Amino acid sequence: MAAFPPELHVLRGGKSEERRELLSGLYAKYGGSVYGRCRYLLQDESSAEDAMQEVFARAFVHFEGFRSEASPLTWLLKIATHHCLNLQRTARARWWRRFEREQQGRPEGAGGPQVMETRDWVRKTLARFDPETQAAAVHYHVDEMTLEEVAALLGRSVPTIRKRLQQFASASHEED
Amino acid sequence: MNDVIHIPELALRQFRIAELDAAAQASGQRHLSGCSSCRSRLQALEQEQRAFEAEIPFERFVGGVNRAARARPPLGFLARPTWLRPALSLAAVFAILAAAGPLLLASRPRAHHRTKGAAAVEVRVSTGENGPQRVATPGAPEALARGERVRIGVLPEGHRYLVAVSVDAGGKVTPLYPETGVGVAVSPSSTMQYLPGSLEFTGPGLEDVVVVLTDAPLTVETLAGAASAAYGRAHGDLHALGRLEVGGEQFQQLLLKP
Repeated sequence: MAAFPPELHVLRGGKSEERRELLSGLYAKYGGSVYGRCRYLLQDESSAEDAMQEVFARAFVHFEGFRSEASPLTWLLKIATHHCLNLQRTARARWWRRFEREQQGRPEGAGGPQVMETRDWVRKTLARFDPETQAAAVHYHVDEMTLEEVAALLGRSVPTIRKRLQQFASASHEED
Repeated sequence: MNDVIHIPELALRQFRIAELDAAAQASGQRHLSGCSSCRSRLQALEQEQRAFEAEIPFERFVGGVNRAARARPPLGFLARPTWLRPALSLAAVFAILAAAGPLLLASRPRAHHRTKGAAAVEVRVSTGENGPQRVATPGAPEALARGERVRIGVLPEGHRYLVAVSVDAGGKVTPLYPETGVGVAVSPSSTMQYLPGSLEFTGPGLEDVVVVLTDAPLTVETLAGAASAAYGRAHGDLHALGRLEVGGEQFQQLLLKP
């Protein structure tokens, strides 16, 4: 073998930070956005608070990587979205069960065409799609990121993201 | 039809916390001065933050985040199929290899119960040359104590090159073997070879060690690029890193730094 590293090769990771000072910055700068994202997806205050704490814990534990992000807010929203979608998949969040019950209890033809905010439309359609499409839909429709930004954020090509979003839109319109 | 182009949601949030670059921040300010719609959206974001602070006071936030930080990641929580993918018989191999063997031994006989022809990688943990040793448990994050070092053993079984990188929870990829260029040549033997040097990973949190054995030369830069791409696909979740898009046999071991 060649190119041996030294006997003890220390790989620099993070370093200890002033805990409260760091958390204070995270709280004041990103708290509302992250908590808002968790509430939007989980529709439950208690679950959203737990999820938000988990997201900030991840940022806190891996602060060096977090701080080096070009946009820490984008990173946090990505992690929050991913974490909440995971929670939904594994535990079937209460909002989805409630939505299903409402749908089942609604009489045929009742209501007619409903004006639905884009954010509500996205949320109510998410559960029918795979995780990647879910994340793409949230970042595209809710964060209003461009196709290119979503593709970069999720590590996929633009055509792949475009295809996912087209499937999302088509299936949603079929439901209408 | 309203033809005015408003500030996208994410950009407005970034504007609010001054996360945009100077030019974009100035552009946003100009737009806001003439757009009541975006101004009211910005006010709504300010209100969102105020409502958050009213609902969850800072002390409660600190307590919750600290609890979550202490709790994660749950040890033993993971079953990592990626580790088993290269050779499903590895569990038996590791059980045998875990028995004994000095950390700095250059090579040692192969485990008797190993499936013929199966390459293997072993991650050993020790506090030093004379300290107690253990083999990292495949399929679960191996918790490291402060100052503990890691050494990588490899059973090439015909493969000619080895490349290794590590990925931390923030997505930072560090070349391990070699530090630059084409993978190190390994002897195509059936004995466990320990790579020179021991590694100490500093900083807290998870670190995923990825070792790839190949028949054709592979640069560590290529592997690092594949690791970065996989990290992106996994949404920053090292538990879900999965197989990297390079050839060869791949092995991964999660480490939990103190």
